[in-house]
Amino acid sequence: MPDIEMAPYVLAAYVLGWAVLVGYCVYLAAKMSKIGKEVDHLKELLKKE
Amino acid sequence: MKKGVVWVLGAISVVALAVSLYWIFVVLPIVSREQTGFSQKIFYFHMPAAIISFVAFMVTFIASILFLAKKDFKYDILAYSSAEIGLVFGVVLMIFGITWDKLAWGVWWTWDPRLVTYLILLFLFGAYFFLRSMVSERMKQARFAAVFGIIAALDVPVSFFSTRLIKNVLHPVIFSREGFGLDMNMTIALLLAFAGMTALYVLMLMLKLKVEHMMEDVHVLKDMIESRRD
Repeated sequence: MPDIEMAPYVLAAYVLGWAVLVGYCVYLAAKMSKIGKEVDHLKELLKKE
Repeated sequence: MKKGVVWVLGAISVVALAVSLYWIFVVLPIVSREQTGFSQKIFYFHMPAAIISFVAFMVTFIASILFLAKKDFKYDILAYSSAEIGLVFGVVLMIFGITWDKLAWGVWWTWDPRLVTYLILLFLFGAYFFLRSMVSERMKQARFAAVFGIIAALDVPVSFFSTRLIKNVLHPVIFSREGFGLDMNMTIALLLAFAGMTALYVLMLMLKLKVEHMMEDVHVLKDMIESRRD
C-alpha cells in the first residue's frame, strides 16, 4: 500500500486512540464533580439532621 | 490528592505527548517500504500503550496479593482502579495494533501468538469486572476479584515473552539481546510518548482512586444520616 493511502488509517488510529484516552479522563472528571456535589449535599443534610 | 501534583502530571503528559506527535509527524522522515513505510508511525504510541497496560495489570497483580495478605480494602481499590486503566490503555493498544496489522500485513486481525495472548488478557480483565459485579458482599467480592486478578495477570509475562520465545512470529521484536532497532530521532519520539503516557497513567490512577474514596465518603455519610433518622 502506498504511503499516501496509509495516511488516513494512521491518522484515524491516532484520533481514535486519543479519543479513548481523553474520553476516559473526561469521564473521571465528570464523575468526580458529580460525587463531589453529592458529598456536599449529604454533609449539608447531616448538619440539618 | 494534591492539586499541584495533578496539574504537574497533566502538564507533563500534555507537553510530552504533544511534542512526541510533532516529532513523529514532522521531524521523523517516513521510513522505507521495507520497514512498513508511513504505517511505522503507529509504533511510537502503540508500544508505550502496550507497556503501560502491562504495568497497570501488574499493579493489579501486586495489589491483589497485598489485599489477600493484609485484608485491607485500599489494596482492592488500587487493584480494580489499575485494572480499569489497564483496559483503557489496552483498547488504545488494540486500535493502533489492528490498524498496523491492516497496513503491514493486509488484514485487520491475524492469529499471531502476541495478538492472541493479549486479546485473552483483555478478555480476562473484562471477566474480572464481570465477576466483581456478580458478588455483592464486599469482602467476598474483593477476595474473589483478588484471586481472579492474580490469575489473569499471569498472562502478562506470557504475552510479553510470546514474541521472544516462539519462533517465526509476525509481531516484530524491537528490544532484544541483539540490539535496539531504533536511531536517535526514533528513540526521542518513543521516549517522549512513553513519558507522556506514564504521566497520564499515574494521573488517571490518582483521579480514579480519588473518585473511589469519594464514593466511600458517600456511603459513610448515607449510613450516618440513616442511623440518625433511626
